[in-house]
Amino acid sequence: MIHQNSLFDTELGELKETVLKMGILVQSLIQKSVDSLKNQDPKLAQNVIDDDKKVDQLELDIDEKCINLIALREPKATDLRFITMAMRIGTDLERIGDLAEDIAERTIELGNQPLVKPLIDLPKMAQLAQEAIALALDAFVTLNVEKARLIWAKEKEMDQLRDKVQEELEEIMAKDASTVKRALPLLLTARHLERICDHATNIAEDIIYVVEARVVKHQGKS
Amino acid sequence: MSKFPFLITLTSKIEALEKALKEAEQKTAETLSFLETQRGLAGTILKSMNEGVLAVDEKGNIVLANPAIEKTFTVIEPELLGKTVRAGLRNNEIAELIEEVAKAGKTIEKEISIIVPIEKTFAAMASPLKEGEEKKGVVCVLHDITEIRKLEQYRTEFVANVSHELKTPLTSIRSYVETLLNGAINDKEHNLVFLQKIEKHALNLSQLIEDILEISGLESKAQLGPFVEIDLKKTIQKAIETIHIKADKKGIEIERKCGISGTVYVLGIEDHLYRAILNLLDNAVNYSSSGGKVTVSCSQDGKKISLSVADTGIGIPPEHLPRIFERFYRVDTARSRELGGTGLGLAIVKHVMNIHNGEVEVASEQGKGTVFTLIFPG
Ligand SMILES: Nc1ncnc2c1ncn2[C@@H]1O[C@H](COP(=O)(O)OP(=O)(O)O)[C@@H](O)[C@H]1O
Ligand SMILES: [Mg+2]
Repeated sequence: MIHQNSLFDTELGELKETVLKMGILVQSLIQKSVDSLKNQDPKLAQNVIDDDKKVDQLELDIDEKCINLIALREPKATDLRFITMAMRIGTDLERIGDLAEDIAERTIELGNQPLVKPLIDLPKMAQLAQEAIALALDAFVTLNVEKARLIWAKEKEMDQLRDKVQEELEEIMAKDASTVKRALPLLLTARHLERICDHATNIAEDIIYVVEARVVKHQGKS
Repeated sequence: MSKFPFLITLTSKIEALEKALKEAEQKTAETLSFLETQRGLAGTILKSMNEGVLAVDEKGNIVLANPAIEKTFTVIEPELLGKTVRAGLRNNEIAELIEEVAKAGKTIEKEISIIVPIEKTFAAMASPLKEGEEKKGVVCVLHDITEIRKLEQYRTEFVANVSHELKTPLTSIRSYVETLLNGAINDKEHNLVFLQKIEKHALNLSQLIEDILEISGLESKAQLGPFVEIDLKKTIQKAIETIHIKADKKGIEIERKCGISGTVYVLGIEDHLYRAILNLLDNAVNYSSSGGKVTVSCSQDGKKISLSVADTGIGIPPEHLPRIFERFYRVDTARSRELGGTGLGLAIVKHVMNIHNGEVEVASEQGKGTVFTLIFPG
């Protein structure tokens, strides 16, 4: 991207920073939400729920920055694509924030009822989700398509882990119906984490779209 | 010669000039090597610092990151250079601190926690870099205070626990005394029972205080005193003698069988070692029913000397095993209190073994019994 206008560059830089800020924040929310579940720590869960408001605010900031850039700077095609991508990434990150909040709500639902099993795979899934977002942010900062493509491998791994967790929990519930109330929040958490990864894949698709100027939606997922 | 006097002047002038030039050159070389050394020195200092040092230019792009930063964030400096703090370190708090300092133009100190790649707490200090009046960016120093914070947390929890544990017997004592004062003192049927309860709680209380003092004694390494050669068999015998009355009362047999002939010496502090063995024996007796048996044995493997206390008691459920060495952790708090336990016995054992560079292991089967083993490096 070449511009005569260095002010425009500064503004684009600020937009990038805000997207990064939001990405880093949701990553930490995923970690905290699953930690809160693992340690049955409702205080930490509440912390996540409160912090999600910051995520929402950042999405608004991004939208405002993008609209201003489009309206006042009349960007050329590549820049325009970059700016609309930033907006869409903002939307995906906002959804990821909501999903972290959902996980925190599962922690509060569970309260201090004993866990049906020690949490091992869910923290692994949370780790994967964060890695996927880290890759998405890397790809975003450097417009690196190869990094973006690595996210599909994470998604695959995520799906396998989700299946495993789901099977285990279903087995526990089938054996003893009284565990349902305690197993369900864990089952839902696995789904939330999987959906987080889906949003990371959306971001990857958007980045590839900007760089290669073509739509890759639902490609490479096979 | 006198024919060309100006030549002479010229030659001498050239010579003087040459000399001056040489001197200047010499000086420049000296200055340069001085500067080089200085820069090398600064680099060496930065490299060997435990604190993370990060500098950004006036645009907020990273221009320097020392190895401590590289280690904490698992990155390498070349990957960071030219990137913003968010892009490079993926951290909002540090980025915000630096932005704040750049704006305010003054030093700001702040505590910062990171959770990725590992959980850590830093005392961060950031200052503006200036050349004259010109702003040149910001330098940020991260001092790792994770351990200090952890220790503080640990202390706070311990103090909270101790006050709770102290209050429990005190509350009981006060309520019995009150009941007695309110007339029960003349109630021949109950007054003795009340006094016995008071005595029991008072004993618990003094045991608790003794254990707390023991723990704080173990913690202040300076006050530990020198290691001496200890006759292990003798110390075991002493501990068994102490516990014998209690064991006899409960109908529990204590057997001693040592697999090492002759005198066994370990290096350490006798008082503490005695307490550790006594605590294990006390537990073995406490958590066994009458008719049980406690076996104390020792063995040698190479230089290592092991001492085991095995009982035929109630055992410890596996999910509790990882936590029983924590202070105040008990499987059944009510039962432990009833038996006069403080919840500190095993914490003391663990601490004693730590200062002896040894280890303590536990194996247990519910309903069958428990074996604690002290291992000395020899
Ligand atoms: N030999 C043993 N058999 C069964 N349980 C034991 C034994 N030793 C320790 N425990 C368990 O570990 C807990 C902690 O032990 P300790 O630190 O000595 O505290 P306490 O004052 O309660 O004895 C005890 O409360 C008990 O539940
Ligand atoms: Mg004890």
